[in-house]
Amino acid sequence: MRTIKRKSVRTAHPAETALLNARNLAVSIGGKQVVRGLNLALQPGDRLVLLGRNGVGKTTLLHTLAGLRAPDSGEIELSGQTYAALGPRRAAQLRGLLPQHQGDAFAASVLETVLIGRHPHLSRWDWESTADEHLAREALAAVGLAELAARSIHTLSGGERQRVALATLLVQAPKLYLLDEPLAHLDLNHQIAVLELASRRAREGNAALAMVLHDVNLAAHFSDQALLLHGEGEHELGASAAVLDAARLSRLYGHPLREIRDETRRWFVPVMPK
Amino acid sequence: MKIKLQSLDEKRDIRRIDPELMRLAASYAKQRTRTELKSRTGTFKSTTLPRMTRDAYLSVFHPDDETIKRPAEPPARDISPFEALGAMLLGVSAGFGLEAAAFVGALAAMWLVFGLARGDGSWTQTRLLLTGVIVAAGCGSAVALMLSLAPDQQLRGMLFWLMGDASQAGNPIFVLLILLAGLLLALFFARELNLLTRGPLLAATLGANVGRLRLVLYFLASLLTAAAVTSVGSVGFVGLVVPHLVRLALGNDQRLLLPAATLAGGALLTLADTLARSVIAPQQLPVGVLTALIGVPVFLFLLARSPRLEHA
Repeated sequence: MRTIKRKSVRTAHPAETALLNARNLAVSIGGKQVVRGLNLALQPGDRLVLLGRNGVGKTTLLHTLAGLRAPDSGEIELSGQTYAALGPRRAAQLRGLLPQHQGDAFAASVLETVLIGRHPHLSRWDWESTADEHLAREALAAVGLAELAARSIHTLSGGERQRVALATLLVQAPKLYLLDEPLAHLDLNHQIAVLELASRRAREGNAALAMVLHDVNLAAHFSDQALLLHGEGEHELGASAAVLDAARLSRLYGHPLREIRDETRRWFVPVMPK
Repeated sequence: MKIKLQSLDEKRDIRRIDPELMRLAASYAKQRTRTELKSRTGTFKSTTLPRMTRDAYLSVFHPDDETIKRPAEPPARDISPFEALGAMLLGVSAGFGLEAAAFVGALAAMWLVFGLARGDGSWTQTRLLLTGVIVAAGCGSAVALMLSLAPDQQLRGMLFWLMGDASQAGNPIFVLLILLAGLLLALFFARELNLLTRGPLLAATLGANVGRLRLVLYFLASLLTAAAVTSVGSVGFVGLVVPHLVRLALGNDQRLLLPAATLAGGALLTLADTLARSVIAPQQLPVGVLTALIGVPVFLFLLARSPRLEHA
């Protein structure tokens, strides 16, 4: 297993200060190994991207990091404490997950849907305050849906619902954002806007991001670290600038990619069949 | 053999049947079956047909509302056929507290459905639905079997009770206390219920202990259904239609929906019971028949009006 060490000053910090710290993690689902011996630390401000083929276990790994399923072995700590020690409520104040699918069984307004995100910050008999509603409206404005606050969630398009889910995560205001395909159903302009919004949260809010993406160019631009899942538990983890290259990505996706450069940036494009 | 109790219209009478009586009833039924077999054509019309009608009745009123209810409601509410079975089976044969028997029956049915539907560790809505329907059908047949074996004098009372019959409801204090305690407990978890309507994954990420929440809900639903069924029989459609109606008026916040549906459900039952006692007075109708007669068109109207209510 090749693991490229990050050359960053942050690695000098003791591991306990990390927002997320996974040690010697082994995860499998349905007899299929997702990762083995994964050591991962995310500091405030870090942005990690998870890349891999369909069905390799990106979502499973993300759910494991979110404490929603137990790893086969290894430890996961959130701000220095295990999920068991934190309990579900405290964990929900620290980490949030944008699920891959949005399920809204019953009709609710967009604002109500977003206000759900305040749940971990309210005590049991509390109702959402005007401050919470203000936060929700801010989050809706941040994802460009301010006008739709009163609409029924069922009348929204797939992309709009995806942004409502993101707004819900924003009002949850965790320290660790786990985003499972945050760009699903989104137009190009919204894809960039969402990634910029998430990056800003990481930078200004001292939060960390871990996200599953499918676009390698967006991944290269909006991440500091990359975790490549090759299947069979094999993985590569390192700084995005070092790990993301044409050879590795070609192997990762089983399709040849070429790298194109200009002065400042590089792009990966698939080699088209003749 | 003359049977002591003249009419079993009262649920208390069902409770009081002693094992001796049950044995008599069973042997009577056996004897009757033998006679039926002997005189093939003669008695076919007079005994088999009414029995078939009766079975059809049961399947219409009980397992079917199961099918409609399950996808939309928290599945825990759809247990009255199981309750009825539990109450009849345990209450009738062993003679101990009817309420406790219904509660045990409901819990057992719940455990059976969720245990079987779970299988590989995760259950899907479809699998849960199918398991529920099958178990309900099984319980329905068991109830039908008990009805077939019961002496004729008791049948009317049993049938009325199965359809929901408020005419014999007793002192409400005990049931009312259970209802209040249950409502308070449900309200305690109301915001977590709101989370759960968005799916278990989102609920878990937002800090709900989904496993514990489900256990509490199943227990609570069994208890409340048992309390209701032992008071007035299995009245259909109140639990199905009222929450949907209230939902249309108030939206989906369980903190409002739970107390509002409780009040509205009680109001509907009172209304239906008043009608049941007065429509063809002096004769009384089982209230369950009226709630179903009101409930079916209202529910179909709601379904047609907002299909997403059920299938989104």
